[in-house]
Amino acid sequence: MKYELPRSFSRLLRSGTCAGLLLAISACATPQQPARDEINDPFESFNRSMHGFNKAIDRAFISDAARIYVTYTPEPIVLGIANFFDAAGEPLNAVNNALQGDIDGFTYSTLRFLTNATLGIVGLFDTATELGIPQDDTDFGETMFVWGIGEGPFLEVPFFGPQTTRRFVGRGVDIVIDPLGLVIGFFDGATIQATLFLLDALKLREDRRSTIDDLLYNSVDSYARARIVYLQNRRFLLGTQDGPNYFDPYVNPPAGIAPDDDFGDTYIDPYEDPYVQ
Amino acid sequence: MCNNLSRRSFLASTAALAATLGVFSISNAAHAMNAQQASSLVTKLVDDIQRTVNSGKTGNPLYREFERIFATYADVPIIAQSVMGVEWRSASSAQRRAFTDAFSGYVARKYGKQFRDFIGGRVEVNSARPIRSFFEVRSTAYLKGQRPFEVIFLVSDRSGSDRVFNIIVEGVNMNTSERTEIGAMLDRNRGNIDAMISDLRTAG
Repeated sequence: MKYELPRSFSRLLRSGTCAGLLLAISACATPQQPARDEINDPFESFNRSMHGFNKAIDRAFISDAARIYVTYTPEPIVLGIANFFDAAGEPLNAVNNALQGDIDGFTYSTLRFLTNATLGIVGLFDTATELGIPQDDTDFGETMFVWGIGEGPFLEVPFFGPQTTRRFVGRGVDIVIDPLGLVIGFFDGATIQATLFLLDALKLREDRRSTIDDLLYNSVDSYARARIVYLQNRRFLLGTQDGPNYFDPYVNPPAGIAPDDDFGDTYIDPYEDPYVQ
Repeated sequence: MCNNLSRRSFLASTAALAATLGVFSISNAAHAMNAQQASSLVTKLVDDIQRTVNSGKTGNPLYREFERIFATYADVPIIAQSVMGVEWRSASSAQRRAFTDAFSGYVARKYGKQFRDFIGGRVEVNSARPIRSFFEVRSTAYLKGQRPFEVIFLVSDRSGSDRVFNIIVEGVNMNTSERTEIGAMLDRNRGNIDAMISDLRTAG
């Protein structure tokens, strides 16, 4: 259950220490939700060159490193590292869930952290999931979404790949508000966190190898596909793509065609001769 | 503030419920398919994919199997039409048929390759509900060593039989993704539909 905070909350914050930061995202401070499959990409040519860079990095390094890491590291170690990374992210989830007024999410993140840190042996085992405590991953990008800040222009960022401006700014805030970062110290912790982030990214690259390979190397326009795939997935994670908004090809004619031109109703026998009018 | 919010959301959900019920009763009158049939179609589809993925087949024999599955469970013509977008209107009947045929082979090759990630995994069908004139079937994919993720199948009987017309994996829907790809193929061929179709025959 999510409780939306009053919009004045973000106004309050804007006057505080985050003034400069929020100025940076003023471009995306339009609170209404994007329409289905809407693309806001004013920096397309810059983004396309960053996409080229990321692809080159994947081709030269990430793809092989992912295969080697997952193939030659014993499976329990790969899973243990993934679990550790997840557990280490729970305090930040708890903070963001709290900022979103998501009491259930806050409770789950806190319980998951405490359970996995102890019973899960410093986070190496995901005991919390086995005990049925749901995972409610979130980030400051989602917090800003809950506060009514729009997603902003699409960006492709070196190493981090496609994201919305809101998500990108949120990453920066997450580093600052991560309780674990405060405990282990920004500088000592940064190397550990960067390493974990890299290993987790390598596992994901390998887990979804054929999907990512297809997207990057088997598309006519891999940038355009990465962009729509990212936006759809991100909006899904934030819960803004509800079922009732599904595109219905039987009712909706192809984009740009007059609404009265309903192919769905002229549809007779698809396998004999579907398009006789 | 909170009271106000919850009252508003209560009103909204009541309205949504009423709308859903309205659509449901209309669709019930017009269509024979029910939620049970929609889920059983998806269960059969998932079982068929699972069997094929784990059959050990590779290359063309595997892609032929996927083309058969696609033809059996999916409404290929409506998918082809919605993926081609606005160009559908200017295409001739022959081009529409050629595109639908090429698209079917393309999907089989492309997704046949991607289903490799599913070896040793399983998909469980959870629930089905009516939406407007069709059904949304929700399922969860469990792949080895990975967090489970959601896969949604949209099923309609508007073609005359129960068919899947879109698949949505964690919010990413095949229809939009392929429309982007076909659009890029058309751009590359400066809008020439025949050239795009001939590219499509070898793509995937």
